[in-house]
Amino acid sequence: MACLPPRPATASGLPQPRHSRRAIALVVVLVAAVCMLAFFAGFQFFSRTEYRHLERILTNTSLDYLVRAGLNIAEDKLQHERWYGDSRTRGVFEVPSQYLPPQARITIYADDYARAEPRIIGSYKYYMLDHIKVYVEASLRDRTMYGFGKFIMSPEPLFLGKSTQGVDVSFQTTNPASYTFRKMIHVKLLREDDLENIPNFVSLSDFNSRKAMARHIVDEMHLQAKNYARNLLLSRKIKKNLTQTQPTCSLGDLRSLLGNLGGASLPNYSDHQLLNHFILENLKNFFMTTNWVVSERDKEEELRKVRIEIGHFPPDELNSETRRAIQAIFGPPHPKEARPGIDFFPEVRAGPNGSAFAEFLLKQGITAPPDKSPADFQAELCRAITDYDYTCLWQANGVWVDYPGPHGPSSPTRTVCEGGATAFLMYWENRNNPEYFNFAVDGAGVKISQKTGPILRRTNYYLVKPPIFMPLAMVFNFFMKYVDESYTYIPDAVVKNEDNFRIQLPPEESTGSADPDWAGLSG
Amino acid sequence: MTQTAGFAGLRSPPGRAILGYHGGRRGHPQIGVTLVEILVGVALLGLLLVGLKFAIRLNRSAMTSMEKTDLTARLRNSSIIIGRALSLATEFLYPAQVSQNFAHQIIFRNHRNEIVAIFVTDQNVLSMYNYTTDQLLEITPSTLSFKSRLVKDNLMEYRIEIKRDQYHFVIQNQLSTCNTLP
Repeated sequence: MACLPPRPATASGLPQPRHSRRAIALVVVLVAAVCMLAFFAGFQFFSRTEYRHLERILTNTSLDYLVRAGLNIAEDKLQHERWYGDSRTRGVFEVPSQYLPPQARITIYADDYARAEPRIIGSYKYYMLDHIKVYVEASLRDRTMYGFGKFIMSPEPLFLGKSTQGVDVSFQTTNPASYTFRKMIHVKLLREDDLENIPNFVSLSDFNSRKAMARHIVDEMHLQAKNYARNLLLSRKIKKNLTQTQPTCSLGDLRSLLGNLGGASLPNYSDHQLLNHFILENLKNFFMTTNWVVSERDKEEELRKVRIEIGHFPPDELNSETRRAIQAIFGPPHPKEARPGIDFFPEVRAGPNGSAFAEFLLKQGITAPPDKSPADFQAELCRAITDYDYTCLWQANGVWVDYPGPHGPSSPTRTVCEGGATAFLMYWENRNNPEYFNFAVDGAGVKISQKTGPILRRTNYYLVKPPIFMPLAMVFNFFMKYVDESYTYIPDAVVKNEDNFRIQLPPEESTGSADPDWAGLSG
Repeated sequence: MTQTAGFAGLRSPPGRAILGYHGGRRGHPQIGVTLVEILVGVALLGLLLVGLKFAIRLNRSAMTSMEKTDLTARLRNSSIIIGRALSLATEFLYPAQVSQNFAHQIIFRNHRNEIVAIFVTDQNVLSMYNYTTDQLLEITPSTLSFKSRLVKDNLMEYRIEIKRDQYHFVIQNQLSTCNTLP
């Protein structure tokens, strides 16, 4: 500093501070440094935000797959058994962490729901398992996603125990059926935002929250069946007729393309008709398996193997006397007889109108879904009248003991109630003949009592694709579970044991011995 | 230098050229700067300029990265939206035949059995149109192309190509539905 020139004096005579000029450079440097710092901080902030954004997208994708994996695991486990079913009606399963990515977690909840009406099997009434509602909670880092599915089975298993295999379709025993259709349906993924629309939802671990979620989804399930019916025609036309599309198109063009394909709209069906339409159309395409991922050609081939058969029923062995006796009692056109090919169809196979079920519907004269509840329609469609039964009691009063012959007023008479249809016909045909009856006796003639008939005897239809032989009603029931949510709620605290889910039927009341003064006639 | 030459007896120390008026016999204050100071100033300015240039380049690079990330995010987001809708579908309606050739749209029945189409509008916006409810969801602008094909029964492949300025990205995915009906 000694070599530097002296500092210039200020106006006051004092030397001007030397650092004032250099301070400018320092300020410039400081400002530049601060700018740089701010810039780098900003850069880092943006980088981190972008990274977080990307990470969130990746997390969402992973969560989608985790939830679907959870639903697949649940379905796989339920295809074997209800892992929780020994004593409880609800179960939880935590997927072991060694099978999952770090920080990931999958929890599966399963709730059993019983069929609304118990079913008589042997000498007991049993609660049956209607379906199992499955919920999945998958979390990864700080995000969670939910999944829902309804596991359905037909024929239905017992609510008791842990099997998901249906019981014997004859309902004579609780032995397992030879085949059970099982599938997870109504699969749905829900984000955390979606849960905001569900009232009273707290957590999936809470049963009431799960019920609230299921209730929320039920409306959509019904919508699914109705939309299926509404959009079926257009769907088929798109599949068949749409062969080429342009790389880009305006919304108007797309609308008119689909509109032109759509053609005639569905008639104004009622809710019941829409639900029945869904069931019938699916039954037409059902080829006796729940693995539906096959090509159209394979599907057609499999459908050709399916046939509909009437179940076994005893032949109507009505002899001519009994026939005449019934005709005499009930009047023409009785006795009615079920006619094969008109009243029932012994066997229906696939034909020019499509699958065996499609042909079956045409034979039944069903061209549009009926406007009745699916349950009523099921009862009507899945069985046929194969016989008409008639019963009555008869007695002939005031019959001359030694008829036909000359009788005096003191000749003895009797009451006849034996001899079957032949005897009945003889007395019936001579009911006004004084050679047979002493009309001086009070109540002389032929009396008929407890006349019942015709009693319709029905036999179930079966859907057959060897080796599977399944009542049509069971298959119908499988698709009815898509649209039906009637079940019995079982409180969480109820323990699964026979006392709670099996009811002893009261012993059948004895009807007493037949009145010896009356003869039975049936056929 | 010429100016200082006029001041007799005033010398600069070796290596220190003095510029400007810096006082003298008349007692004027010394306000000039040395060559070293100028050089330091120039160096600082140079550093500052280099730093700024570096910063501008970084900024541009950051913007580029952001745009790329943004495009990638958009693509991934589009894929999530499309993937979720397709994975819960009940049936693929178009393309309906297994083929090696690509189509330009996907038409399917969603989990509510509504008819939905995924297509690119003539303004190059990848969109999802629900024909049943008449609702349009615009997914991604600047979509160069959308292609689809049925790889196997119930396995749909789609490919989204997106382009903005010089950036060009493609995402491809395959998935099957889980709400199939017979």
